[in-house]
Amino acid sequence: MQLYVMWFVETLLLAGMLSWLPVMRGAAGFFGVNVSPDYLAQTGRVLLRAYRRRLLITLLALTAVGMGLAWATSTTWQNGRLMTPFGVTMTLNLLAAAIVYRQAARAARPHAIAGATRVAASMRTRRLRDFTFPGYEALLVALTLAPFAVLWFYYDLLPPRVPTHYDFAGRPDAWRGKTWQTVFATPLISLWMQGLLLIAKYSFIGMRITLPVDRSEEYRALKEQALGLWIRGADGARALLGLMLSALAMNVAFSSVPALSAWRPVAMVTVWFVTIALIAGLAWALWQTLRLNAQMEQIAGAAFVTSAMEERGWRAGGLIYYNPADPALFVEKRIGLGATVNFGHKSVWWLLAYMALGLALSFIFTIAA
Amino acid sequence: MHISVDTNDRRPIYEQVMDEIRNLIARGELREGAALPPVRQLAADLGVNLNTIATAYRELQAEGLLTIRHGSGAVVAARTTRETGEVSADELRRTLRGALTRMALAGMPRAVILSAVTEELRALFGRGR
Repeated sequence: MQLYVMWFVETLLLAGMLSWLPVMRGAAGFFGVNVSPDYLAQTGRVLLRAYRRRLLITLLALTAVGMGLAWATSTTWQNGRLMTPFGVTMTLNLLAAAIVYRQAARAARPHAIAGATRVAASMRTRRLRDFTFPGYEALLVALTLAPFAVLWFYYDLLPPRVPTHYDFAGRPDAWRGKTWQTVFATPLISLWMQGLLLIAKYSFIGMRITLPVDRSEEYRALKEQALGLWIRGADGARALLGLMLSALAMNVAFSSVPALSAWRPVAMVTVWFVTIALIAGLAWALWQTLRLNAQMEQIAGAAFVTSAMEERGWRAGGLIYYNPADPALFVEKRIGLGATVNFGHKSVWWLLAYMALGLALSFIFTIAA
Repeated sequence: MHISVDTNDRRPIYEQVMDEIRNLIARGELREGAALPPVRQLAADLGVNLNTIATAYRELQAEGLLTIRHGSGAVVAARTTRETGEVSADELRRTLRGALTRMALAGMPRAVILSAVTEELRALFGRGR
């Protein structure tokens, strides 16, 4: 019963989040298009209400069907089959939500207003090396490579079956046969994640900053403050995730080698500490971003300024940016917060290849192992 | 410190960028040795093609205002162009006459034109000069 309640709550959370997305950026990003405040206040409000109503009904109906089927076929957590109807229902929910969203975005699109014809740009350079501290990078490298060293050193002392999952108290509750994939899976995923977060950091540094012509310097200062927050956030996330994944990786040795058992509680405390720090950090960054966005909206009417060239690149209700004429690889999201890639940029394939590498690693180290 | 462009302006974008950068140099906001943003960054921020900014930088280099070093980007080379030697003061004055004539033909009163010219001079040379 508890899991069915969680299932229902997750559906409501999904509906809530998707209800908020179209108006997260106000009139500048209403269903992915830039509309006038008057349209948003009148026709847009009607469209939004209809979208929310349709979304909620669709998600609840699909969830009810999924739950009903799960109940009727007696699938439970105990018999291990509940995840299948849950997973299928959530997937269908996302697909249905995408369809409902797209319908509403199509209705909003004819009311889009063109991007600004007069825009400004800062003459201050932004380079990766301006935001890179050698000492900090050296520390992160050491943190990421430490598990490799520890696990390689103690590999022969590990038992034939090594722990691969732990309960909330840090006690192993799942094991697999000792292979290099099983033992080195977590450190390799950690290494990949460091690369991913470096890419995220670079995306924030290289993100387009188009300024309004009026009050440009004021707006620029706020925008750079917001970007600075995300850049520091990416660096912070690299350290915290590096710490957590290193602790988890080395816990294989700590849980298996008696001489290292004293380190097991340290590893689990580290994991808990990092989890709390990540959630708190994310919440704080989100709050600061929304505060800065509100200030930028006061200056320029929106938290971001777009040129006519950029407006032409948004597709699928502002979810995808495709613009081969745009030299920017990363642009600020039209829906939600953060950056997204320009799928029309020639370098996007390297990025997609890197993401595919992560999927390949997951496959090699979990399913194939 | 920023530059702006207007897609409704009759001048090509690269000329607008050149004029804006010349203005910043003349006003002293971009000093000798100051680095300009990379072509890709400025093009992305303004929402224009890479070649537009590259052309503007190259033309300014030809005028002697910028130095472009491969790998280091563009830096301000001088506060005066090579033009002064090659182009006479009469020619430059004719450019000014043309701009003032257009303002007068647009119906701007003398006092307004004078005020505009004074403001531009102040921006270029500072209040005390």
